[in-house]
Amino acid sequence: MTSKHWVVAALLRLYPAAWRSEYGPELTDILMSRPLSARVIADVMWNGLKQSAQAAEPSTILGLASLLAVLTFVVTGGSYGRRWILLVEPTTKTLPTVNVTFMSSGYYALLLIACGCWTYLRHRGTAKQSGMAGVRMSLIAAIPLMFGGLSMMFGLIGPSLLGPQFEPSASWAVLAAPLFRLPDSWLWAALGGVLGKRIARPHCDAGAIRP
Amino acid sequence: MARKPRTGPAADPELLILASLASGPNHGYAIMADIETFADVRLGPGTLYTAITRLVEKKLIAPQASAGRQRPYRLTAQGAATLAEHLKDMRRVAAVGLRRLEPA
Repeated sequence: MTSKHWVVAALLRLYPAAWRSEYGPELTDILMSRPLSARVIADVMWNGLKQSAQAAEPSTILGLASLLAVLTFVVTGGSYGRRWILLVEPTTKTLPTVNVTFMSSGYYALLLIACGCWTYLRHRGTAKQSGMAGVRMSLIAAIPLMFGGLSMMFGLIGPSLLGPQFEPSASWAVLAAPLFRLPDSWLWAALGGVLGKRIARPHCDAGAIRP
Repeated sequence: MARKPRTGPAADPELLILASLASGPNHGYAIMADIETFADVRLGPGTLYTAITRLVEKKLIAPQASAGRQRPYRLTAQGAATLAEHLKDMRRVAAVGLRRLEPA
């Protein structure tokens, strides 16, 4: 396999699988029959990302956007120790002992409603399906936190980073904290699904044959 | 030297593909070469296939069966009607614009 074959195969991986099976061989032939300039590579990359974004589920897009927000929080949020304090806070409850600040905010609830609404409008499914999309979005958004919790469990980063108000066993709590947000995520996204149904209804009524 | 029409309706990839297929079925590479010849617009392969995907979804063009890896695409009746409508609109606007540009 030449380096050109490798580059073309890598470029094709940017497209959704269904698109690749339909148009992949044709695009591969065209790319192999001409020089791979920077302009051609940029064009294929840009269109591949566009196709993938169009084919992606709303929960994936909003989950990744939330994941980026969490990462930005970690990278830009003051001193190293403060970053985690901004993301998680101890609670007075028995369970969960740690609360994910970002996922408990009103902004995140709005994102979950948007996710549920968008999922309904795309698939015209049920509120339950919208709720599951919210759960998926939260699981994607929680990846950095769960990764942080796992890193603490395996001693890659010290639990002292969380701040003095956290107990040394807080790594389990950090790992599990996003999971405690999943029922809320389901409810907000299901509410978004109901909202989507309300938005879609006037269009259906307009298209109905009146006596 | 004439400036390449990179923006506007005359450079719209979907319209250019429909115009190219008006002369008969063709495969991706030939469509790209034809557009470069008649419109002086060089479509990237990614842009070409994104536009082809949209046109197939809108049922304005359809792929034909082929033994090779390169499938030819043909203009559908709906595609021909859409192309004719767009071109008539463009001709009307161009005629008015050119007439108004003429010195009185």
